[in-house]
Amino acid sequence: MTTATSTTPSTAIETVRLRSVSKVYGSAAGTVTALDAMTVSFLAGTFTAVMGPSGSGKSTLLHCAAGLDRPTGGEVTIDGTELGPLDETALTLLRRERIGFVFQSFNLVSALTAEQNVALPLRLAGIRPRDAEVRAALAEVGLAQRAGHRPGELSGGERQRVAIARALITRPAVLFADEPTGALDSAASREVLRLLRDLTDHRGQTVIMVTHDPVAASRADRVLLLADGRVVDEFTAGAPAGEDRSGGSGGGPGPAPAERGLSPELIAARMAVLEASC
Amino acid sequence: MLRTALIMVRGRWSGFAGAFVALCLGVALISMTALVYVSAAPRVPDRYEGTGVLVRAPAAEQAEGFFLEDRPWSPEAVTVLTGRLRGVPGVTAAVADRSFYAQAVVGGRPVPGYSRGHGWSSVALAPYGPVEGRPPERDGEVVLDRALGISPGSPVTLLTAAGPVPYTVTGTLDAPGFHVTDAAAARLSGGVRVIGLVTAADADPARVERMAREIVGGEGEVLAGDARAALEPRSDARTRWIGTQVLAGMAAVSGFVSVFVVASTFAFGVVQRRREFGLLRLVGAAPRQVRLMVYGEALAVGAVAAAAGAVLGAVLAPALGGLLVEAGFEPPGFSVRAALWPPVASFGIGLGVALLAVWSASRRAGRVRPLEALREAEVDRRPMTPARWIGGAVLTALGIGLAAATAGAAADAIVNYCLYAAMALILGLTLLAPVVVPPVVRVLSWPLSRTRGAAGMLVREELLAAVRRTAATAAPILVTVGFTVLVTGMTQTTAGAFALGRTAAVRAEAVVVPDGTPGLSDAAVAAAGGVALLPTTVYGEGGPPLEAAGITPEALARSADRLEVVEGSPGAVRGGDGAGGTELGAVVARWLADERGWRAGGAVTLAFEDGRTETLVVTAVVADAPVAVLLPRDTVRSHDPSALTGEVLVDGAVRAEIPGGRVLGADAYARNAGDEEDRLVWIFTLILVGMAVGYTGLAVANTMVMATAGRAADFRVLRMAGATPRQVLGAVAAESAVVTALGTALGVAVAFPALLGMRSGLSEKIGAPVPLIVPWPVVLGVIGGCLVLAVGAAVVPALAAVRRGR
Repeated sequence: MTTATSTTPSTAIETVRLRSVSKVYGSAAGTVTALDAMTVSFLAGTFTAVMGPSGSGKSTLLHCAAGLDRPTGGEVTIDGTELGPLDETALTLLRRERIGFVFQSFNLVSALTAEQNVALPLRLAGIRPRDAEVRAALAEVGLAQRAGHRPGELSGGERQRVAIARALITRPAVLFADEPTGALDSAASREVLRLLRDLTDHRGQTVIMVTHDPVAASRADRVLLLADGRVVDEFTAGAPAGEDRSGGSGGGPGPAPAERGLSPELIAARMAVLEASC
Repeated sequence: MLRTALIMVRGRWSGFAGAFVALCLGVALISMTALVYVSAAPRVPDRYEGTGVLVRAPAAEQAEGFFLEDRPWSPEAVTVLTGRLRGVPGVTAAVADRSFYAQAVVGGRPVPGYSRGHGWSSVALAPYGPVEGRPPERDGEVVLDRALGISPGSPVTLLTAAGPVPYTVTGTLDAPGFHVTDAAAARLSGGVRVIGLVTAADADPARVERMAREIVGGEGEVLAGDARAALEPRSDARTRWIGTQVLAGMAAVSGFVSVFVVASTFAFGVVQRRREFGLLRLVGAAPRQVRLMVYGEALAVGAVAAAAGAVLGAVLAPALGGLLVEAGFEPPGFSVRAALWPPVASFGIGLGVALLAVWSASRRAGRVRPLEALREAEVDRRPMTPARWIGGAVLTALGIGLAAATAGAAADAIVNYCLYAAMALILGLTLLAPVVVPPVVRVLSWPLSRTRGAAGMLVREELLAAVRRTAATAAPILVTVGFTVLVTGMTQTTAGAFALGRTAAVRAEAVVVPDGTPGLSDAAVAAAGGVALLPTTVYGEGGPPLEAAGITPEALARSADRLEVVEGSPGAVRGGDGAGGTELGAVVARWLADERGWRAGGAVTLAFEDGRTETLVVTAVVADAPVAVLLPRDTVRSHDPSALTGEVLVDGAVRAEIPGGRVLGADAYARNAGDEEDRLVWIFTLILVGMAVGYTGLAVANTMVMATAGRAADFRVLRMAGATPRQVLGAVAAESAVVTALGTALGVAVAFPALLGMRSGLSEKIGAPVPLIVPWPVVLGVIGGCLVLAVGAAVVPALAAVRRGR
């Protein structure tokens, strides 16, 4: 059914692909189907937002796609590797090398400084992190001056930007973001969304973001609407990622969504309809 | 990974403080114990420091824990040996050293301290200063310690094995002991075991030693230089041996308890940090890496704590040595020597303990799944695993079994049984705590649910909702209270039961025990007029020395129905009643008769304390004699003039004044069995309880601090919901009090069945109802201490959290 083929069907690389993936919780009588044979692909260099009412399966989709949870049926492929046959350690290695995560609650290790948090994935991989590399990653999110601070000394927006720097330090194939702006005020939210948008635009980073905020979703190239474990609707911005963004209208944050053809109002309206029908 | 672990430890130092302190104290104790242990080597007695070469009677092998005197030379052998040794060139005198019991009586009270008398000529063997006054020249004259403050020319009463005897002080020495003429010493003492050689100033010690060796041959052992330490008094060797037992017990308890405390601290830390571990897994840590990191943390904390502990132990060891001397666990004059390996070894043990303790926690941490980083609540859904069920049940059963088995154990093994029982119960109950806690909390906190205020409801629901936390905080209190009740109750009840067993044997109404003296003199025994054993040592042909005791025929007849006779008739022990008319009789314990092939009616030859031998008829073999050989009292007294009676069991009132003794009723005697051994066991018990309480107190405080610190958010919510700071703190304090009550109830519930089982076993063995003695002041003190610690450890961090929350 819904595959992301609308713009560049033949040449684009599918960084993440789910084929008839199901996830059923519970047993015997009380089963809950969180994902219902979902087939969906995410192309390299695109920014996708996943939306849906609570219980629609959007978090489960993210967890299964990222190899954090194992589906009950179907197959998940990340950057050409199928996850099903991998054991826990192999899965960990894949997560470490190909996947980055950003969460609502930042999830920084409170005992480590911003710099140490960013370097953590490299250390876990047994690589001695080069100072310059870590500094550059922090500079990229605008936190070069805060390298030595612990999470407790950073604001919410700063913490989320440290989390993004950490997610990117291994140059992952895909960045998963679960409600990255959920715990932030609107100014910090805008800052984080701009950062994610820039990653796709300038570095060709594949980003998959779960959100319930239409404004956040409107910054994406493509929005998937989920209900009852299925994709029920999909919007795509006029232009594919990477094209004609670099030189153009980097003006205020206000006009940008409208220009891309994804309006927060439209998304909000669709969501309202979905929620009413639930 | 180790680097990350190090950074983690630095960042959350407070979370590791409990483990650090526990480990540091544990290593300090082990280091201290090991230093004292290696220092506890025999020393050359002061009395022999002034001479280079000594000869002693051949030493026999003795079983572990036995310190009987070796067989002395016969009087003839002494005469021959001293005569020949005196002939060695350079030797000016060969002194046969004789010792006997003597104690000065000042102001009607025996003066405590060194209570041995010697012949005057032995002063030449010691480097004592000059005598003030003159040496003793005839009977009734004595030279004594200047420290007693009795000046030459004054009269003094000496207590000897016969009773109080008037003496005249002719001089004083700057040394302990009572020196009388050699002739008097020969009459007062038994045989000779040591001959000291006094040499001329120009004599060659090596040559003297060689020639002495030629002369003595197989009749003795020549000791020179440091080898003279083998002449240490047997009582000192025994004291050191007891000290070693105490040290081993302390090291075992501190090792065990520090593993326990450190393990529970780490385990609790892992439970609290599930999200953090999930997060690490999320950003790419493999389970093995998480495990390694937890090990790394333990190693980092362990290394610092163990190093600090090793140094602390080395610093404190001399103080421990002093305390042990004072308590009677090390001989006087003992001091701690510096050595390198004990602190180094304890450092290694500390690291090992840390790694051992973190083993289970690291496995748990490695099993955390990445998704747990995203969960809000830290819920441990499966506190009980099958392994935990099985382990808990098996260990608890084992502990109760061991406690019951204590009843059948030999007197000196009881403390060990107690310890094993307590350890097994501690482990078993800690494993079972998550199952046991909720129902008990429900019962204990029921009154709270009936109160009108919010606090009662809050406390009850908090405890029930966080079962694991409640179990974790109640467990150390359970352990402390259970351990205290069990161990103190066991030692007191058993000591009382054994004492009661002795009085039951003759249906005694009162017991005369020594008061300020090592034993009772004949005068005291005569004044008391009851049943008494006169302990001595006898020597068969070959084999180790044997414990023997003299008993009067009347006393034997009175307790005859308590002896289980295997063959013969114990009544025939009196001299003249045997088949040979004037032959002496002996009652022999079955184990000895079996070992030596002795039968009732047969003749045995025994050597006595004075070195003479005597042939006796075995009149009876009995199953359960208090000593290996029972002999007529007169026979023992004639061969061992210095023997003292341990206690006299009296049937009826004691009217006379008893020199050096006091009278106890049978009950008071059972309750307060005042002999030296029981006193040492009791002090040992108190040391162990003190250590266990200290450790578990640490565990309680640590768990409370960690748990409360983890609940800052809850307190904020409570404050926002309209609770005053006082209400929040009140709820926290009440919660701690309920947890303490919970731990106490469980601890008592575990200890009592074990104690009751032990009591019924003892009652059966003794044939009289044994009172269950629990030292309530000690137990209540421990419970009070736990309460103060638990409430304090919860309220202080809560206070800080509430302040911050404003």
